Amino acid sequence: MKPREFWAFVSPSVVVMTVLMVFPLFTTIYLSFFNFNFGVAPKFIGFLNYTRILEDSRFWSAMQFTLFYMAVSIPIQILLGFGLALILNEITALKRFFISLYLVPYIVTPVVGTLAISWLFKDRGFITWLLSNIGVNIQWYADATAARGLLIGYGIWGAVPFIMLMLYAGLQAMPSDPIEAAIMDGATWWQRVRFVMIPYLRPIFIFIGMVNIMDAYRLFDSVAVMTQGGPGNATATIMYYTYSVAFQEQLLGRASASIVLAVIVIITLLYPFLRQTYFDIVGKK
Amino acid sequence: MKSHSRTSSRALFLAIAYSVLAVWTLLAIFPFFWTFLISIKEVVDAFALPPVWVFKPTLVAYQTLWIEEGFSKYLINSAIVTLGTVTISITVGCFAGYGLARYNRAAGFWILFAAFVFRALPRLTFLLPFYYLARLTGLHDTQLLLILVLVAINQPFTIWMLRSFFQEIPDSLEESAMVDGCSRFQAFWYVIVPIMGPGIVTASIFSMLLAYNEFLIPLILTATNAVTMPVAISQFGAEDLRYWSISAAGAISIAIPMVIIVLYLQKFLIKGLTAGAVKG
Repeated sequence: MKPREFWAFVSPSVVVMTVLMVFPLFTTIYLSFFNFNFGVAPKFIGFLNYTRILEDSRFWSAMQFTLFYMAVSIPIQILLGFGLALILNEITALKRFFISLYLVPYIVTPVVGTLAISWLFKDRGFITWLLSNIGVNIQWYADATAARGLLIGYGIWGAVPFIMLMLYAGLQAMPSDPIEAAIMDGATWWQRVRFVMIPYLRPIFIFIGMVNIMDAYRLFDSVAVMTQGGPGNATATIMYYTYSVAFQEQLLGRASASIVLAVIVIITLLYPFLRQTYFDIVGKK
Repeated sequence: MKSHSRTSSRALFLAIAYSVLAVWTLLAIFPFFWTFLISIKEVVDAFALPPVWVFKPTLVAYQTLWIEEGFSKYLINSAIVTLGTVTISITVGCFAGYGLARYNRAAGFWILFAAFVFRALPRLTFLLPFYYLARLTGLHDTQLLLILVLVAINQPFTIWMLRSFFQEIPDSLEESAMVDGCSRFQAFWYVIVPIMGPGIVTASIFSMLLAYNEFLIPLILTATNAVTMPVAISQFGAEDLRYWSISAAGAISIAIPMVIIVLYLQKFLIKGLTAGAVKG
């Protein structure tokens, strides 16, 4: 393809991304140096927004909870998803039935899933009542640990279907020769998983890890709907904190500084993946 | 003897396997089933403890939702925004995906890499300037603004996925068409796009789910006129029990169309889930 043709094909997309992503990104960085609210003329204040954010204990607790959320939920959801994928790969009867049902939490609007789960755990909710019958009394929304656990549990519940399907499809696409060779050599089931399947699925695991880091880091919907960051500030994530600064306190400049800091953190976390992607595409050319 | 023990261990494995699958089925479906029950119970029964299992179903909550609360307005907004986003982002994405699949120089690589980095950035990075500019220009609270922003947010994922589908189609197809006198664009439009059908359906499903399910973008960029269903339902009265039934009716109403459409098209969805990872 000639360069002229290439640019003709990609230009609509490049224009969309430049106008609606590159431009706003730089605007956000620019605004983070201003005292900037509605009805007030923007005033340059240097790094003051950054100082204010870094001095705000809510920022640190939000960052801490976000990273804690990622560290706990991502390994568990990958393990569960992989376990279910291995099982689905072994069975024949009812396979499609299970896959269809497991897709439901992935398809349904996150706000709807959040509401559905949140009703079960209200003080008059079904699960709260079930637990109280066996002597476990938890007020899920009043206790910081319980509320955090609830959000993490919801996150795992919502993410497992995607992981399971990705790994299941990977297992299905796997050539049968290495598995048969392993069986001939007397490998146990676990040895086949550990030394044949996991290495084969490695690119999919990396992809899943990356997407899960991106998604978990921008956790907002379930916090906004289920706990509103409470009790106190216990379940505020970095996105929820930034949202509150921007739209409850109406400090757009300071919120911009918060988002710039948040972007620096996510790019750092994703650096190994970005590097890998960079080399993958270059390597293919 | 040996084969007998192998058969019985297989039976044990299957027993455990199906039990695990059954437990996960319960976990995946029960919350929605419970929500459905809340939505068709009288308010007094909906949160009665112990739960009422035998009751006369009622559609009062749905009636209140769709008639008194005017939920159809939000449905129309969601439908317009979803259709608009899918149409524009897939059209724009097809051109770009094709160009990127067939061009092997540095510019193509940099566009893909930049798109990948943008995919990683949180939505709020782009939303704060949009919010401010939209308020200044009067675009705030319009469906058009939502469509534009959703198309942009969706573009990196769409071009990566469509590119991987275009790469599966051999170059020889459009080359022979071009030898026969087609221009590059004609070859793309009349030869390549028609066989891309399944790939386009797959990318459309993901684009549709993103637009229909999005919460943060309409939460910030709408106020009253362009509010979509997820934002509307999140704002029903929080602690008033009467509203829980209505919210539950809303939750079920939002979920049903997407579940039907996507389960009907699920083979395309599964194709798409693997496309990105297997081919990098």
